[in-house]
Amino acid sequence: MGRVLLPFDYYEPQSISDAIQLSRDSFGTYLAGGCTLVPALRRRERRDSCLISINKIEGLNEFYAHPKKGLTVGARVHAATLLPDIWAGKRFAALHEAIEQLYPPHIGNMGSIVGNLCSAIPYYDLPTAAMALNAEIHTTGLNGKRIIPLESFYLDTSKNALHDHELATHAFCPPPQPDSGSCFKKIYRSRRTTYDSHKINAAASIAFDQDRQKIQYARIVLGSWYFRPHRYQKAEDLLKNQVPSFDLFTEAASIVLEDLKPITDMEWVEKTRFAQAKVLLRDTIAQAASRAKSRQDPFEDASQIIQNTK
Amino acid sequence: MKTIATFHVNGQEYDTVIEPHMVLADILRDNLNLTGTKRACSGGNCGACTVLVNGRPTCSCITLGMLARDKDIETVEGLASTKNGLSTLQTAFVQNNAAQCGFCTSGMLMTAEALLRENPQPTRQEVKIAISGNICRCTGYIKIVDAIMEAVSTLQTINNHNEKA
Ligand SMILES: Cc1cc2nc3c(=O)[nH]c(=O)nc-3n(C[C@H](O)[C@H](O)[C@H](O)COP(=O)(O)OP(=O)(O)OC[C@H]3O[C@@H](n4cnc5c(N)ncnc54)[C@H](O)[C@@H]3O)c2cc1C
Ligand code: FES
Ligand code: FES
Repeated sequence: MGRVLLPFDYYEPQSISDAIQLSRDSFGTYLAGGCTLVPALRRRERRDSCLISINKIEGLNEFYAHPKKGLTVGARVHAATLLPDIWAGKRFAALHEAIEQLYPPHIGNMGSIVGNLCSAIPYYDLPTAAMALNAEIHTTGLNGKRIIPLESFYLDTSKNALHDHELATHAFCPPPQPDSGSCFKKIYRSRRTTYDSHKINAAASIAFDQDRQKIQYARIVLGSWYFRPHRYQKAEDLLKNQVPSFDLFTEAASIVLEDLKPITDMEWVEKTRFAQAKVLLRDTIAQAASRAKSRQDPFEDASQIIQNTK
Repeated sequence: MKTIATFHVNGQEYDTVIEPHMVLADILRDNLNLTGTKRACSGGNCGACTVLVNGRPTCSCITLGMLARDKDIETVEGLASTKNGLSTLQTAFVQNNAAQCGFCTSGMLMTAEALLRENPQPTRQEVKIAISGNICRCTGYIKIVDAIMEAVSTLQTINNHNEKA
């Protein structure tokens, strides 16, 4: 890795419209925290000659998490901002867990959530978690505003669906269903050989019917396999209207595996990855279901305390 | 495109000429002569270059200097004071032999400093999680964790003493 970055022009617009204008005039690249961009520039994988920092733009640092209103994360919000938020932890647990497990943890203080999603790097964790929460990217561009579901946001490695000069203003996850829970897990180990694919991540959202007996809704996402995370609808359909059990979750994981293709021609690598993916998926679904079943919200806790003290 | 930028480091203001492609680690070391901050992997992976930006551990090797202007930066040089000498945390590192080559030490100290401010009584496990982004090739970490735990109890004793006084 080269030690220094090559020189570039740098702008700090104060508004979204100025940023878009500057991007059009200078063909610059948007810069948030720089955690993807700076190492890539240093490795000479990218050669951007102009960076447009979004860090002075008002209105991009909005963050709120609410069970009835959903989760909104502005483009300047650093990942670690979510960690102390009780609603983010309870109702958007998959994303919260993915951020908790960012490695090294310093990255959460520097990198933005939107920047992570926009990077379109296949082995990043937040896209997998956010997809399980049905996230969408809100943008402003030359032709106005757009909402892009995360499921159709990724076109290729390092390529997202943003048009030239379009700025992602925030990410949004809709409010979760009443009796639902979500979970994110990853398997991460050191790469031993160049062929050794060293990470798999999975996320799931599960919702129960009113009696909390049968599964009503499921989203199952596996990431770090292909260039983008994927949902597995056959497995989701299998779970619907079923009473949760360990065998059911194992079967759902097996169904996902049927749809997966090897990504290397190394037999031992694929054997290990398939075995890991099965356990990872089963445990992720089981944990999401367990959270949905035992869901207790802070305001429910609070109202119980009030009732008890009456 | 050279510009004059102001940095707030360890409570002092520094004006210096920088270019947009300069990262904070280089500005601290080369422009401000604060060479306590080390640079090893230069990719955000090892934590050797950790400084606190607005109180949060940050890898200065991948933080553009332009993004760190107008923010509160703390480096290892800010831990010791001329009045009191080494900080409690630094003293605990010395007493526990928590440094061998010392290359990771300033980053380790800054991460530990941030942890103790946020959580003055961490468990051993919490310490391990907090420093998990700081790699040490020499010590095997046990002495580093011992040192941080010792600093926790020393600070606790000082606090109790101050409360009684
Ligand atoms: C050492 C290291 C370890 C990491 N570990 C993990 C990990 O364990 N798990 C994980 O998921 N991630 C990990 N990451 C990735 C990290 O989380 C992302 O790099 C970071 O969150 C990206 O956000 P940023 O604000 O730094 O984006 P930047 O680097 O500033 O931008 C990233 C990309 O998105 C574009 N972009 C940014 N904001 C916008 C916007 N508003 N509109 C349009 N385009 C935009 C930029 O042009 C650029 O192409 C790691 C990164 C490093 C360096
Ligand atoms: S030198 Fe900055 S993280 Fe390694
Ligand atoms: S003491 Fe040498 S790397 Fe930690």
